[in-house]
Amino acid sequence: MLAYHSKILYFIKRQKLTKKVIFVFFSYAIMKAKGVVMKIKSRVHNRVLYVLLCGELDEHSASYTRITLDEMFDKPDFEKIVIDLSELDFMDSTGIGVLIGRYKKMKDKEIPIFIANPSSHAEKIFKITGLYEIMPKIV
Amino acid sequence: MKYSNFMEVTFKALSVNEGFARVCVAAFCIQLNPSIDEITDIKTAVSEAVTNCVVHAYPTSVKGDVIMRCELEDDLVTITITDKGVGIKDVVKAREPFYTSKPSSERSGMGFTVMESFMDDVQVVSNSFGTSVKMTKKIVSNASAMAG
Repeated sequence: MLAYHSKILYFIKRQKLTKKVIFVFFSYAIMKAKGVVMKIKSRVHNRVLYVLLCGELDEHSASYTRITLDEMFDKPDFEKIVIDLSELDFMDSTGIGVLIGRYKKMKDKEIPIFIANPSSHAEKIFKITGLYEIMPKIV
Repeated sequence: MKYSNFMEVTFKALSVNEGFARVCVAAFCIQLNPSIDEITDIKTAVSEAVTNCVVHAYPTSVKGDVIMRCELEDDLVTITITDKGVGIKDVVKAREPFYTSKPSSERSGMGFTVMESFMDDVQVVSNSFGTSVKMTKKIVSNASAMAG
């Protein structure tokens, strides 16, 4: 057993797998095991972190989304976050809770979050809950 | 002649069943030929009600049942989502916007507000044996086409 672990550690070291790569791997494994229908992509451009949410944001995918976004937001190389919802097929008020939670965390770091490309359905929920007051929509 | 139909499903109060619940109701309501917006409204309201069952009804690790009944009467959709959980102590307070009994777990407290906004009527009956949420919505887009 010990030898097996040593082999894995050696493999990780040799392949120069970073902590983040391992985290993403395990997050993905957990996501697949639980049947979560959510995929999150991100990229940084001109010190803006663009996050694309793909899938359905509800109670089932909330914890995965929360953990993954916190991991992405926990980097110092951007001054602004844009959450793109063009690929989000469904969202309910649990999603609003997730977004408000991320807003509170980023508020302390003075990093603003913006919403891009919401569906008419997501927009309806944002207007009811007043989310645009803390996360403005950008065109 | 009055058009009438119903379906009822029972499933375990697990978050993985939320997607199933909303798609199931949406698929059943298709026979009234609703618009995409109407279907999305219904799906969201169902998701909110089922989320309440998953998160609040059964606080212990042993999860109980959620009974979802959908009735169609002409152009009127009535969805009743019932659990046999701990019940809501103060229904009036629970329906207030931004009220949540679990503020530490990043909940928006907007579940009932969303249900009320997306459906025409929402009634909540709760006691220590469980909670029942009854929601109705009139399909205005093209209900008469299938009613014969």
